Amino acid sequence: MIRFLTGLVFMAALGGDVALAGPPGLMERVFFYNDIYNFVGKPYPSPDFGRVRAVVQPFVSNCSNLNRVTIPFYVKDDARKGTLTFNLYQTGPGTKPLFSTAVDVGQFPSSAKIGTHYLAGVIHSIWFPPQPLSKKQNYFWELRADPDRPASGVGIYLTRPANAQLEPVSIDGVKGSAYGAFYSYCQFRFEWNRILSESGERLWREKYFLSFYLVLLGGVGAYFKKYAGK
Amino acid sequence: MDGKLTIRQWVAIAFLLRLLVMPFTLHGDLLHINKYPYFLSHGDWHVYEKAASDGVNYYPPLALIFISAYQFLAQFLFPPFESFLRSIAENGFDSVLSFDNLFFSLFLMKVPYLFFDGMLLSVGWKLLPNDEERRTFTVFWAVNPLAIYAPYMMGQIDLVPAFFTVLACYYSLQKGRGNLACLSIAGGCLFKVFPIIFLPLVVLVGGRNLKDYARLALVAIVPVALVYGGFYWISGKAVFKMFLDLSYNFDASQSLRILLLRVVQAGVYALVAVHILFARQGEIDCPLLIDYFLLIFLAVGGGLVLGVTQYWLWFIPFAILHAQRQPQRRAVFYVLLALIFLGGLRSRPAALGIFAPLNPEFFLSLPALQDATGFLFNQGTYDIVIDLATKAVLLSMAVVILKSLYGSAHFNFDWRRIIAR
Repeated sequence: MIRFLTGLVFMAALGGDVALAGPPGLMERVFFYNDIYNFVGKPYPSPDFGRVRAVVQPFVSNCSNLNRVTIPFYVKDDARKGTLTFNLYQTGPGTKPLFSTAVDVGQFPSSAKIGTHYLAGVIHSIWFPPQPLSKKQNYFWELRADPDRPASGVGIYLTRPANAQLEPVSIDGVKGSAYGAFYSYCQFRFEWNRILSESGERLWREKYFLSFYLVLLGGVGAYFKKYAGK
Repeated sequence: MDGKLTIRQWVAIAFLLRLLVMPFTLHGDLLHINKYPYFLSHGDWHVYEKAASDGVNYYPPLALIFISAYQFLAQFLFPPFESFLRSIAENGFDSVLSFDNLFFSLFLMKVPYLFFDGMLLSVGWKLLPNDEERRTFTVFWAVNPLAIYAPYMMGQIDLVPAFFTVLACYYSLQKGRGNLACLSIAGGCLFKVFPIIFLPLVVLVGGRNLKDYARLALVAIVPVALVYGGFYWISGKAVFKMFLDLSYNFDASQSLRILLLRVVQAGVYALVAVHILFARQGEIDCPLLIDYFLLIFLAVGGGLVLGVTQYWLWFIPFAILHAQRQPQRRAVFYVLLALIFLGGLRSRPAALGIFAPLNPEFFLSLPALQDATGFLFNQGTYDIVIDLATKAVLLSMAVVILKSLYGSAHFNFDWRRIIAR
């Protein structure tokens, strides 16, 4: 029931298009930019969703066309069940709901090794329609336990290292000092003029070093020529 | 292969290829390698504790000392480099791509590798008998994608211990230089742990009896123990965090697969050891010794994660030295390089994203090999197939080399000589 009502709220707010966000197309899956990479430091498990109602993670997007959030979950294989609701909001002047979807914990695959060394869980991606003006905008995502099908045996990972794009995570309204371990992505669009001008700016910024570098390359070329045929 | 170019020209090509990528490529490993030595270069010796409190480990102590010393000098000569290093040490890696002197700093961080690269090439030449073979070695090394990618694009430090391993091979061939061979192994181990696998080999080649073996082993172990001991005194058990983090890889009780792998590896090592013991007196020459080193790597390589591309740099010098004498086996070498490519470059930052300093959003948005393979195939199945194919190639190479070793005139199965020792 709650899922249905939440869905109605989001459809009303966004003209019905967000709830239809299905599997992404090839371009979205191939060309994307990983904006936030916060599965870092020494991630540790949050409280189980059987014991908490909502986890809220505010963040700032540094790229246009934000369209995906990926959250690593820890999963107790023998105890996982229920449903979570993922909500995405834009903040700023007012809070604007952007997207909502259900995450069925029972459908998760078995827990497997994630991260570089020692953590296990399931990495779950949530795709939503690209937000064209997302660069430098504030958002938060929320994972909320579904009262009708309460989730348990699952939680997210938290981590301590500060990240300039994030505010600390709130768990049931209590804000601590930890951050959600998650990733966010933007769809990349090929605007060649912008790509070339940005690259040119970066090269121009270091013109003195690059002048020396070109002289060095020229020296190697001269050496190559000097020993031709010797 | 190339017809006209001289060895010096190939050296110039090698240098040019490395220079071309040095300022424009960045991988997180390079920042990690340079982050912690910054503290030591500013007089703070508690580096391993800092790394442990960040949830990561750091490389062995000589790597730390060497990079700190280099940074100390480079920061003194080039002040903007100091602010770059301070930024990654104090603020993390988040804003590194927007740093003003990024290309210059990336270039400087990789400069020490050029020195070891040149040294490796020079030792490689000393191992070879004539100019033609030296030239072939230079060609293979100059254009080898792994020798360019791992140190100069990723910024990984593996080139340094690889150099020490080749140096150990060189000293093992010099009569009465067993001590230096063992010290080379110790030097390599203090940059990255892997050269320790070659210590028994170097000891067996350099010694004649049990007393020699014990002495040579101590020559390698004592410096390593002293340096580690010094840092243990400063940082406590944090200095051993790397071993604890990697221990799952060595816990044979956790998996039958690991147990089987260790049995095969031990078997290959035992066969190499037996061959050394029964080799005709004074007949361990350069090709034979290279085969020994290569065999040990082939056994160890079966346990490596294919995606960790830089590990494969360990064996490239020996594979080149072997392949140039055995042209008919070069195809296997190329197949192995292809498999390393197909199994590596998995993440975007390690693939085209490595050029992110030129335009972060563009290059980091381009797909990695894994994006294509994951789209075309079941990624899990693909990984297993590539991994098994690599193991099969490594095993078949090991079998072929062992067969030729035991079928050669070098081998003299004379128990009495061994007992007399």
